[in-house]
Amino acid sequence: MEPTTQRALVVSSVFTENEMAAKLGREAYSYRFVFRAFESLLRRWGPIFEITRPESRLDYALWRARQQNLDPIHLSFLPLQMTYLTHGAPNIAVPAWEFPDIPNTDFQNNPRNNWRRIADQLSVIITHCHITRNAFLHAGVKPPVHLVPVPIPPEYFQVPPWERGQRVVLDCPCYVFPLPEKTPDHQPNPWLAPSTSSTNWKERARQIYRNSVKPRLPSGIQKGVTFGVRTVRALRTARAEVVEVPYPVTPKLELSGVVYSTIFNPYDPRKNFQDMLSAYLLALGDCEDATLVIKLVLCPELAAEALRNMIHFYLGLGLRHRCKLVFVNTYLSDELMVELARGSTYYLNTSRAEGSCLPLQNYLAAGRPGVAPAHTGMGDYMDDDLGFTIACHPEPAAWPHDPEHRLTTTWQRLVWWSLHNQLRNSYDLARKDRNRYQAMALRGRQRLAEFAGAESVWPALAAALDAAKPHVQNAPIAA
Amino acid sequence: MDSSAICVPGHIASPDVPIYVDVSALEEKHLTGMGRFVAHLVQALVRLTPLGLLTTAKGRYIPVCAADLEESDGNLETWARRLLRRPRRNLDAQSASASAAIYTALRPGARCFRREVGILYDFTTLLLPWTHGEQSRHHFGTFFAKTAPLCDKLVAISQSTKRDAQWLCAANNDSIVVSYPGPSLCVHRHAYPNPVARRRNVILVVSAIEPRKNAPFLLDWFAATEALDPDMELWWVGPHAWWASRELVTMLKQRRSGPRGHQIRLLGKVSDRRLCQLYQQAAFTIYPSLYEGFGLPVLDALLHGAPVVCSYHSSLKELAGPGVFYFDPCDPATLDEACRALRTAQPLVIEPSNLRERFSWGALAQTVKALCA
Repeated sequence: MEPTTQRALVVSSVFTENEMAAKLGREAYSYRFVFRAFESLLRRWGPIFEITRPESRLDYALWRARQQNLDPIHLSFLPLQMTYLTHGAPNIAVPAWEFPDIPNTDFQNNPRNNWRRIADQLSVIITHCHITRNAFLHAGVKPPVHLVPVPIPPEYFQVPPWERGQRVVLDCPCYVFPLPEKTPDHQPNPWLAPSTSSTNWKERARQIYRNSVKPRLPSGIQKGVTFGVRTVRALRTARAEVVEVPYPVTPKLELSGVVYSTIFNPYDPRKNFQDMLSAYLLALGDCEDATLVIKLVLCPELAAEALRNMIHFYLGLGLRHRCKLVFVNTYLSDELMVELARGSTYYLNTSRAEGSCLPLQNYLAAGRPGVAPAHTGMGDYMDDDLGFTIACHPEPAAWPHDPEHRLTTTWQRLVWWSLHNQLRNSYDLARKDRNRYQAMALRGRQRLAEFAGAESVWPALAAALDAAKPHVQNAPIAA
Repeated sequence: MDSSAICVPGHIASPDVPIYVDVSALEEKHLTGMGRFVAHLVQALVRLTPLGLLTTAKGRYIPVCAADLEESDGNLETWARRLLRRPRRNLDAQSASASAAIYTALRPGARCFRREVGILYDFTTLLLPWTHGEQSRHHFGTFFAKTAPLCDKLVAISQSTKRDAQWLCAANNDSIVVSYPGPSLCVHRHAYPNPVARRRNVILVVSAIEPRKNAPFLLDWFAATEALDPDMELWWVGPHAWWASRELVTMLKQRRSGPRGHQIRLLGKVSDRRLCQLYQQAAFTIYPSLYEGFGLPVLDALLHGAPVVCSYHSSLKELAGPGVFYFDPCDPATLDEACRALRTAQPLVIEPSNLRERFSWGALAQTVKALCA
């Protein structure tokens, strides 16, 4: 009698847990968060073997699983253009997608960019929201398309309700604006010669070179010295720009009053932080007890430059304000992220498109209403019962991985005035109507528990995995 | 050989009309895998039918028949250079339209011949794009997405390549036939004819030093592994691929200065004769490639009686058999395991006749000729 085999999963992921901090903000990084969210439920289904670089490693992992008397399925947490199709097991893909249609051409002469072609080779497709599922169905793909929301980590459901007057301090450095007003430096009398005692040695050396040395140098050497000095100065400036954010760091993040939090990668053009900043500063600029915390999701190599660019944009708005604006660009542990939710009043989202928006789901589960549009993936769970929805309408857009940025699809343009007003409304509710706020928060918890609690998600997930056809060795591959 | 490799009924080519073969891969300064493939294919094909060799010299071809060409087991590059120096004739459109042609790399965007057969090696430009230059990615992308379907038939050099074509190539999968190549050296006899003693302490690696061949992984493993005897040496044969980055080469040099650095020998490019000798000397070979269309060095090693420790993926799985031990090319612990398994399995007997029957240039040539009919 043949021994029975146990089912198992070989998971392709974009990078490992150890690489998380170093790879935040890189291509397809959000898929790692999705896999993490599913991991405990997947282990309920069967043992997991995780690999990266599936082209080179997947078949070996399948082979080893079979040597252990397991019957594995390949589960890919990668965008379809990065998904590798093995012929050694059924392939299930878990693509995140937030547009009403999927790419169906080999753009850039790369068949892997053709999601329709890749999808037709899969055994099962798992999507997280209706817009994604509908996009695949609209394309007429062959395999079954299952809808399985991304499960919310249970610790978010345990976050205590927000209370006006609460104060939460996070041990994480941050940049807080507005900066204190500087007292003007003492200006010396420009008509008097500078006293040598107040001139530092570098300036003194420059004066000596300019007045006494340079006139006596041949022109070729003069030019060489000038070139050398400018080159060194440029290198120093470049290094400083790469690693330094020239604003004061506040060592701890103190959260009190009405706190809006938002979490995103600023290089993602969907995130629309420009509208977020202008609307927040204009809607709540006179509210000293309002705070917007912007947590950037980026690896260290990219974080400093991104932050400088965002701050540059913010300062360029030229808006004076008394509300607080806080930037956090360091990696936060899962525990600190939950603490950030605890210290927040609302989650703010101003995206043009979302696959799920895991942070908004998490905050709603934590009893923190949203200020967000109810479009794309968020439309599955967000409405006026759970927060303050922002009006929007479709506009042309490009698929994210199309380097030519052709306008082949649509996303949503937010109505700025609606965003402005909903920020004001949300602030007033939090300050003035505790009962309504708490009712809204409670509805969020309940709705998200039904939508994306682990026990709600599990049956759909199990059904999707069970739907993968068993692998038959050496079976002819369907065209 | 794939069972769908049947003659196409209908036209029967005149014995005087050659089959044209694109041999532009032979014009490279050093013959790489593709160049060696083309050279051996030509040698096998010319035994069956006259050929007209097409190069980058437009409008001209080199006519050859079996009597014109000597064997090349000694030095394939010298043979290729002599071949390309042979006299050329003008190619006219009428002759072309009556003939068949074999495209051994890319192909033009329009049809030129009565019957056109292409070769599919691998899809690494799509699967591992970071291991190729932009130009290669562009050219092969165009081939896979647009021009491959212009071929009447395509020959995939492995089952893996044919399966990859199913989702990575616009050509109809029914038009793809699988036919394996033969070895890349010592096709008829050993290039090094003298007896060679195998050295217990030598591991041989044969591949160009380019990102897909995974040199940093292997050298890191060799420097740290405890699965080998302390006196083991790693000998690497293969040129730097022309676009191997400066960073890769620098990294290789740094690894050579590590604790076992003196036991790593980068031999560069060697003659076929010397390589034959090395294969017969080595205790075993390691092939840590990240993806393959076939894996000629694995076959070459086995035919020289050298066991192989290689990656388990793509076409390398099809070389499974006595003397082959597999590992995950990104997990050094599995390479340790494979080396220990090899040691435990000694003494190993690798039967070359089975391999020569399965992997034969003659069989490939027969298939290709049949598809040209």
